[in-house]
Amino acid sequence: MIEARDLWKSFPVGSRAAVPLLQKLRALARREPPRAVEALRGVSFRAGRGERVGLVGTNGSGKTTLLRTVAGIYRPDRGTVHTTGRLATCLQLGIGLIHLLDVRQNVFLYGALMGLGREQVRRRYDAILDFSGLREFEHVEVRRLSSGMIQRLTFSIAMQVDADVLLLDEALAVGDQAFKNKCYDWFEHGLPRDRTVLFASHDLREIERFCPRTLWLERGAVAGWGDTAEVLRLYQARHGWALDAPALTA
Amino acid sequence: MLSGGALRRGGLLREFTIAAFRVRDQGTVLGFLWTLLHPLLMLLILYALFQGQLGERIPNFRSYLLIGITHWSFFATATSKAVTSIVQRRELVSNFPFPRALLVLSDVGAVLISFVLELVVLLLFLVWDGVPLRWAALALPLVVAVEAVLVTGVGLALACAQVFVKDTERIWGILLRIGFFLVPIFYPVALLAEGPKRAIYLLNPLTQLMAASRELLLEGRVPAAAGIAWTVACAAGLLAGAFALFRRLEPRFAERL
Repeated sequence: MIEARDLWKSFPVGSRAAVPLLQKLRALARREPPRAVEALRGVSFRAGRGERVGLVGTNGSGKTTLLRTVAGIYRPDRGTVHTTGRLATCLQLGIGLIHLLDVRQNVFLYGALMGLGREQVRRRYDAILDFSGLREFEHVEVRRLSSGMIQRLTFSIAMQVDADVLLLDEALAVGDQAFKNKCYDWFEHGLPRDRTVLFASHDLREIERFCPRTLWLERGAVAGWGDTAEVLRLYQARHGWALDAPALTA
Repeated sequence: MLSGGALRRGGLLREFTIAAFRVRDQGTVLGFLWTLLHPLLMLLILYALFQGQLGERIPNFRSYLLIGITHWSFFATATSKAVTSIVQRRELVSNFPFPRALLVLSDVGAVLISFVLELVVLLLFLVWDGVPLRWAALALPLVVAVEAVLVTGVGLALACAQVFVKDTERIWGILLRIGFFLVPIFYPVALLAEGPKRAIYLLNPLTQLMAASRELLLEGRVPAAAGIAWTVACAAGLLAGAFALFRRLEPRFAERL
């Protein structure tokens, strides 16, 4: 379960941010007013146990700030956020790996970051390698892998997670089409139904397919919240493009 | 519930520490040998420089030097690693929720592993140097434990400060250079005239730890209780204070990186 109530979060910019002393003094001398970017402005929503909620919004609308605040990575200036059970994040695939270590060592490291114990990772180790398709690279340093392989590796570990609340940022489907299909399949059939998921994406087809309800952020505030079809319709109307528009293939 | 969380944190600490230890000498030709080579090179230089004057005043001068060097290099290496423990893990800190102290603990832990291995080499060196080891030497792990507590306290405070003031790393680098001369690595404490200056000098817990280590290993004696009590109190107090500070500021780390 995720319950967010009236979340506010701002980040200082200009003279109040961490800048060198001289720059600070100059700003003070010029009497520049302290500035802040309001990243979240009174966001409230609730996702019950087993609910899958989509999160949409243009770049800079506050999606990542919201995910980080729900995760407890940022502390809100005002408001409260409450989650039950264990929480795991997958905000940027590939981050958390150490490129100087080999695939095997990274599986254990990343598994621990996702909250898995060494024994749990050991039991699922073969499944992880098989899913990622990187069996033959087991003892290769991660820096030798292509970026697509790194994403596949991270995703394969992340999907073993046991968390009750899962926060995903554009991380649902990566790699080539075959791997993407495997990812979708896991999300639809592999991921237990009692897991609460908050899933941010720019791919509205993914949101429509997997999330019954959607939260739409616009400049840090909630612009729409509820039934996905309805929210996406309004979202697209606001920004003047359509989900069923022909893709860039023409 | 609590034990499950503690278990997961323990697992993460373990993985972080192993990774930090593995990455340390990764890619260098000599690899782990560097960890042992570094104190031995220091020993060679300091011994060549000071064996005449200072060496005559100090019995087992070579062993005396190596004990000092080993303790100092643990303190210096671990604390300077800890300064950047958080800021260098910007991506981890902004994308995963976990107790940030684990990053500092694992960096200190990785250096602690090297320190323990260095101590094994040190003991072999002492035997080779003709130092008769006595029962008191068995208390050495206690000295190591107190130094680890001290280093962790200093490391947590520094890592925290570095997030908010990027100059911390430079300042600490300078302080460490000065510190090299402010602890008895290559000279005896007796070199300082009796008086308030020496009294203040002896308040340094690192000085006390080095002296304790030498008493245990070279003289086979248990150090005086007052010095031990002071050092343990300093280390524990520092760790408690630094940890409290860390816990307070930790929620703001991600947005400051």
